[in-house]
Amino acid sequence: MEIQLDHVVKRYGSHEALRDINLRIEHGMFGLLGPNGAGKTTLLRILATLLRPTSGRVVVGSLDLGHAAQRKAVRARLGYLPQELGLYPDLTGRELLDYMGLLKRLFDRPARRQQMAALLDVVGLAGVADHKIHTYSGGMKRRLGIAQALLGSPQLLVIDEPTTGLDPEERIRLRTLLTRLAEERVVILSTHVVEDISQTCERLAVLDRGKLVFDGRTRELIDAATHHAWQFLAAPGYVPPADLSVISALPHSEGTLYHVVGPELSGPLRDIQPCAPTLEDGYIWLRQQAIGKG
Amino acid sequence: MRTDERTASTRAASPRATPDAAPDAAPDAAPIPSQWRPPLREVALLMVYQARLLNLWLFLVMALSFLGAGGVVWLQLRIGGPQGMSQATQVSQFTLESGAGLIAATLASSLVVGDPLLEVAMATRVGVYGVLLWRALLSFSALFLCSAAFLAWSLDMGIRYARQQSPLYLLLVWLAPVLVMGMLGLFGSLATRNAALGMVIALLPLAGALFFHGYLLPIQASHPFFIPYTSWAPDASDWWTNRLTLLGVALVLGFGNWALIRREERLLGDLH
Repeated sequence: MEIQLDHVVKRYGSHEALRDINLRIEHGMFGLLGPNGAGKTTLLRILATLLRPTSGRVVVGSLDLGHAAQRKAVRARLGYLPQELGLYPDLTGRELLDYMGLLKRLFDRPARRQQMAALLDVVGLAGVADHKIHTYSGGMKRRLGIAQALLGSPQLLVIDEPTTGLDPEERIRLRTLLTRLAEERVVILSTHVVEDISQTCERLAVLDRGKLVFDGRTRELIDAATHHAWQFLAAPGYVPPADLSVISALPHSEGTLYHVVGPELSGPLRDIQPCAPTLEDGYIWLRQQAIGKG
Repeated sequence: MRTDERTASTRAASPRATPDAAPDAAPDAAPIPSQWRPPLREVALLMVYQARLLNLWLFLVMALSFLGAGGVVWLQLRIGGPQGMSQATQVSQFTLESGAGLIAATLASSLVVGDPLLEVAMATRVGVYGVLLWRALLSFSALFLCSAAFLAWSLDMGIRYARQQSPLYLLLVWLAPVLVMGMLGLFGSLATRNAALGMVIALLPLAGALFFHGYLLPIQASHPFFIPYTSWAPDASDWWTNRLTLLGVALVLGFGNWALIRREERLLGDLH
């Protein structure tokens, strides 16, 4: 399956949430990165058939989301986990999945329940499947959200900020699961956590204030920060200039050890060294460029 | 579903991940074929879930309200003296007309607004229309049953709402305010994304009619839109016009609701 977005624009009144987005998403894991308010959730909601673009065309496989009947057909192949997932506290995890299965028109009860059991096992909730949801932790609710998205074995999985509120172990576990899921389907992962993308996605797009500012391989974005990522030791009292983005600042016996992204360095700094850029460096560099262009 | 299809779908749906599988194994199951026409037992199960997701306190309040009104009717007939029948009739009319309308507004305003899983439900094949219709069906069936029981109780006590009292007349005493206030409650809640506000909006025309009937009733033009018209003029020549107008208003509001539900960004709260 392949997803194609052509000149997609979304306006809410006078506010332009998405500006002329052109994107092709192929089989596998695809990351969507951007700061808050960049338009990620709007784009995901369009892909999840919840919103219609103001103009432009979105095609999922051979189905055009501009047509009501084809939009419904996409829903049969879609799994969706929104950013803010509310759940019914008085249902058990198993009941919630059963209900969602019915909404997805999975009316073959034995098959549905067999898949539910497998999914509950996959997300590590089999032991608490018959507990009420109000007894679940935030991470457990998130995993239940993943399980409901996977019901019906969708070919397209749209996931918004899946690791929010998860502890480090749960995040790693979820990322591993998503990577495996992407072997057989398109998984679109939106997040502002760069690490989630760097660990899972080979391709990504970066949105900034509704504009697509990058679309390509993760490696390309990392490489964009080559010669712009630095590490140096600064004396106490040093204040980095505005054109430098501080990635980390570690206390050191002789001052502070900075890892920064920026055009060039000057001032009373010691041990200036270029460092191997990370995806976070590439993303920050790209953001600097985007802000610089206004 | 034919047996061979069922067997095939069950086999196809068997996920490779077994209960003993590693917890992070991928559930790379083949898709379960969805069916357009669901088996009855699955429909029943979906209704049970929808019923559980509705606000059951509202249903309890509804049942108690009709029970209480039935008790008042009975009491007035027993101890009301010569005026007992007249007072009991007024209570019964008010309950079946304005009371049922008020309950309909309350039920309708909380059908989908505030549903924590609305966004996910909207992305399923049943969609928000399906969820709304199932819940509306359940809610209004319950209201109909309570109202029918109350009406039967009232009629059994010898209460008459009008001189010419046909089954259609009795149906419209109830149906017109229920539909118009229910639709208005839903409209208000969808427009404001707030169930309580939706109910308040639906209450306004009824409250206006009840508080200002002294001013409104002499104005002929207000009669078609007067919700508790049976309580004031059950035998009026324009009673049928009133009911048909209210049904027409309900229809217009129904189209309005349909248009609001189609505006997904409003439902999702994405208005910038």
